Amino acid sequence: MSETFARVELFVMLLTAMLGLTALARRLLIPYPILLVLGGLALAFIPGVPSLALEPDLVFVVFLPPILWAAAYFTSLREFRRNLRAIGLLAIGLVLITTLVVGWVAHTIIPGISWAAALCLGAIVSPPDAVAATAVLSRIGVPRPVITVLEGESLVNDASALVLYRAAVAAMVSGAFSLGATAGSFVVVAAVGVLVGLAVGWLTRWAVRHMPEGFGQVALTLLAPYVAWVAAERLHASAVLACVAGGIYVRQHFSVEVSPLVRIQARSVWDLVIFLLNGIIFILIGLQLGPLRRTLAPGSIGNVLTWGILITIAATVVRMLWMPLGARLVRLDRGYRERNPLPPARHLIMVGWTAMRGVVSLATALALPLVLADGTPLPYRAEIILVTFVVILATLVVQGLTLAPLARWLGLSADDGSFQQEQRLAREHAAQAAIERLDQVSREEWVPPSLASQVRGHYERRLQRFHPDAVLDPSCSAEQADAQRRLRHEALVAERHALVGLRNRGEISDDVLHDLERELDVEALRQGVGHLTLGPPAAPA
Amino acid sequence: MRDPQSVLQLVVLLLSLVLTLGTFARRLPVPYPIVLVLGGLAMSFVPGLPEAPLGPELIFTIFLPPVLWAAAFESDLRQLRRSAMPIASLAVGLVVVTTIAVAWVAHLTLPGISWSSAFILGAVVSSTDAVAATAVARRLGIPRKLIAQLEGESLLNDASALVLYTAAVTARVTGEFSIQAALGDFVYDAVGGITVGIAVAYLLHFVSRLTRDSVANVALTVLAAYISWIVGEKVGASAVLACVACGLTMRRHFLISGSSATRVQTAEVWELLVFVLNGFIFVLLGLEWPRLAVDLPPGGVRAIALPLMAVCATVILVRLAWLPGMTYGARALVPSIRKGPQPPRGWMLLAGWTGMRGIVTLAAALAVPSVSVTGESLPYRGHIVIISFAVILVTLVLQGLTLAPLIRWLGLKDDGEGARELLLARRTALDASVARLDAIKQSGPSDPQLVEMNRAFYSARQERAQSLDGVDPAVAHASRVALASQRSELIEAQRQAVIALWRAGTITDQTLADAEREIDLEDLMFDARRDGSK
Repeated sequence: MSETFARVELFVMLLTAMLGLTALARRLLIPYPILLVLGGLALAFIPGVPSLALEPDLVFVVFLPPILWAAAYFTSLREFRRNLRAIGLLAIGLVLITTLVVGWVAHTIIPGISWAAALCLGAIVSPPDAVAATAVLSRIGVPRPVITVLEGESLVNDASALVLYRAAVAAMVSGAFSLGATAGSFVVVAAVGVLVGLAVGWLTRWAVRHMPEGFGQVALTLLAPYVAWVAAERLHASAVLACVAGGIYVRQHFSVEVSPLVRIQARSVWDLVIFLLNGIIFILIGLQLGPLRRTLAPGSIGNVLTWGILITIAATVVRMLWMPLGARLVRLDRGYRERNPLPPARHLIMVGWTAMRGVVSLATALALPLVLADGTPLPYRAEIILVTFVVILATLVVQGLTLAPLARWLGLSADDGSFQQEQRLAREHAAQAAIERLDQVSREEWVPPSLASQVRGHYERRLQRFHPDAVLDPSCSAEQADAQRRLRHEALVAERHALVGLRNRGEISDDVLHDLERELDVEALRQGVGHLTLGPPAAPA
Repeated sequence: MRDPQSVLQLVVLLLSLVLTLGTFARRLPVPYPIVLVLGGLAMSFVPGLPEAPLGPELIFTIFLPPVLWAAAFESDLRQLRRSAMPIASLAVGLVVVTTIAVAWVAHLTLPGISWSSAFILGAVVSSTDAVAATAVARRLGIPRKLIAQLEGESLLNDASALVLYTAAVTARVTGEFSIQAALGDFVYDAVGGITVGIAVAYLLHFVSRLTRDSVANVALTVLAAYISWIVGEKVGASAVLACVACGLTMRRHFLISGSSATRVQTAEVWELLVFVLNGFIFVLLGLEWPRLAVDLPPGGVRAIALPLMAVCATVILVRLAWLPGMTYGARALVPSIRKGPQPPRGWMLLAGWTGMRGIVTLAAALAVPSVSVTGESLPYRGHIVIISFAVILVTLVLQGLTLAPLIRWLGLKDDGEGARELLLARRTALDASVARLDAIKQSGPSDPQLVEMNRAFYSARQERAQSLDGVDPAVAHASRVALASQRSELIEAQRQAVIALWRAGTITDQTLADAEREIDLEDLMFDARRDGSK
């Protein structure tokens, strides 16, 4: 068997394990990153499973660009702007404080570690992970402001942590450190990174507009994050911020630049890409136990575990303390104080406790250089990596599993009604616009009058449904909406069985069935019953 | 293995090339594989371009499984069954005859070539390419039965060509050949491969019922291609047939199980995947030239011009002669076939001319070993590679470019059977949903107002479908297009209204995304562009 074949085979097995574990996670109602990491850990113990050492380059170059780009793409810019200060405080202020505190703790508890190495460890474990936060929170009902702050934070904090990390590594390798240079480089790196991202976003938009409609456009959106990443790396700017800025920029313009078909395609393809990348990355984190075990000096496992747990506690305590402090800090500005109420304590606790570390921490730890400038091996390299691994596991498992009970205990729920309100408003406006346009178009001679009135009737019924006064009793309308969905589903099921029957009797070909099936599927998605599988055919009445 | 950064840069570069050439090709009235190959060939002369490694393992294990699986998944099973006899005659009979004829010609024109090497060359160039056939056939309006026949042939002939190829390579490397062994291999390969494919399909079908998550199910279809391929390889059976059988079986079950979201997403994902993979394959095919030039025997192309042209001519002529030969032969010998209708002459000519070779040919040629078991170097490997490449280019460019004029000249066109069946299917579906609504209304405690609302919706569509009954399909299509164009005006108006709300900050990005998706789906529901595209 060739090497390529073996590699493909390994990859397929990994994917199969990942799919199995995600399916299991859905059954057990556990956030999937946790089960994947634990599954990876378990796999690492099975003899015969080839050891898959994660290359930091691979993580940075292959996995992170699309993951960050997509996370930015799904961020609401309006909310991001409104919470800019809260996000900035966490993504920059808290990262800095965590780095310092963890550095101090590490210097105290790990005998003989240099300040530079200790601070390096601090920078490595300072940023919580974007994917883990989203994955865990999506299953729990949490108010939108909490999600906005957490997602916004995790988009930006990787960038600031990486700047601190590079400064600490430089200090460790060369022995020189300058506070001014670090602060200055942070500003430059961030600004250039954002500019690169915007430029790539603008280019993407331009190219998409001038391309013929089709999946070339979808492929281009997949290419864009990599271009942003590589370009920013070349310019020594923040590749993280380039991807984030590009994703946000493209989101703002994707609505008008492409056709519906392309948007649906892009969504399907991106969903799959992100699902696969996230899944693989977490299972790979778990699998790292295999190669990492071998770097451990015999007898030191207890030490590493203790250090890791102490540092996890330090990082968690800092974050919990920072939340009320930071919330008051921003309110020193009077204008801000008048515009924004103090967020409720429950929100602060929730944000404070949601701090799972993930792949960025592991990749930066693994990316530590092997030797110093003078050629001697980097001291404490193995310990830093292992402690990071422990911190990732501890935060993922402990916090990840306790978030749902915590949200329930705090009495948090997703729904403040504003979201549904806005949705209704959007639907109403859309239907209204359609009717207005219809009235204009109907005067043109190519439109048969019967057709115009038929289409108009459809939109008028919808307009009635979405009118603010139409909803009298919320419980009644929810029931009604449910019944409506069920009815539609029943009708669609009947349609599909009729078509399959025609095909099975040989009256229509598979090609025709495929075309029509697509119509039915799109309609089912449109009616909000796209996730339902087809039941058995109903008995004839 | 090179470092990820440089591999990524290479992939990004190639993907950009594929996208540029691919979008360019879609504007030209030429099948896109031709444009991609020629573009890749042109790019290969640009100095300083990184070399793209297109090893046979890369083709066989990474590119081929999804491409074949998708071709099988897309194919029309009913038509395949109906054309089983002609497909088998092309996929097995023609492959054997082409291999023998090419081997004979090569033996005549290349002095000193061994019979086993000549047979290797014959097997390598004997099978037509699935992608090229689909790309050409679907773009040009020809009867669907003929499309199904060409696609079915190209799905299956790779398997028989690879069996012959393996037998010939074994003979050359070990010096032994046995016809019984080759026949036994063929039967084992075919039966084993198909069994593996069907088994994997059923297994995954079972797994997909457990997950229910639409994205996971989409991922499962991508995995299916590779799993069936790998298992097929592992049991030593035909991986090609395993992949094809898996695709065909999953298509059948996919229809009924699984949610709408899964199906829509699967269609979108695969469309992109196939586009990108095919793009890569054909661009890499063109880019391969400089590396092949190394294999050129002393004296350059001119030294092998005669065998090269002779083999190309043989490949084309044998195929052209095979179809009428088989058809008239079978009619003369078997009375039951004589009773059936005779396929039109135009069909035979067209099918005979649709013989583009592609990636399997190249991969097999590149995989020809250069040394025997005893360690002595085997001559003529370079000749085999170069001649195979020439056959690919000649068939792709010469035949691919002349197919459209040929179709026009023969006066072939889509027979409208698809459009008629589509109307029938639409009406049947609508009748079923109205009947189901009536049953619900009678059976139970549902809100009568709701039932009426839904009934009104379906009745309106039913009336429309009935009004088109018996109407010329072209007129019916035009009427649908008119309706759709009005819809698209409205959809544009809706989208602008929602975007304005969002610009004003009244609704958030998430709401915009949700509302937009609803509007997009509404547009797709009335999307007439897809009608008749197949």
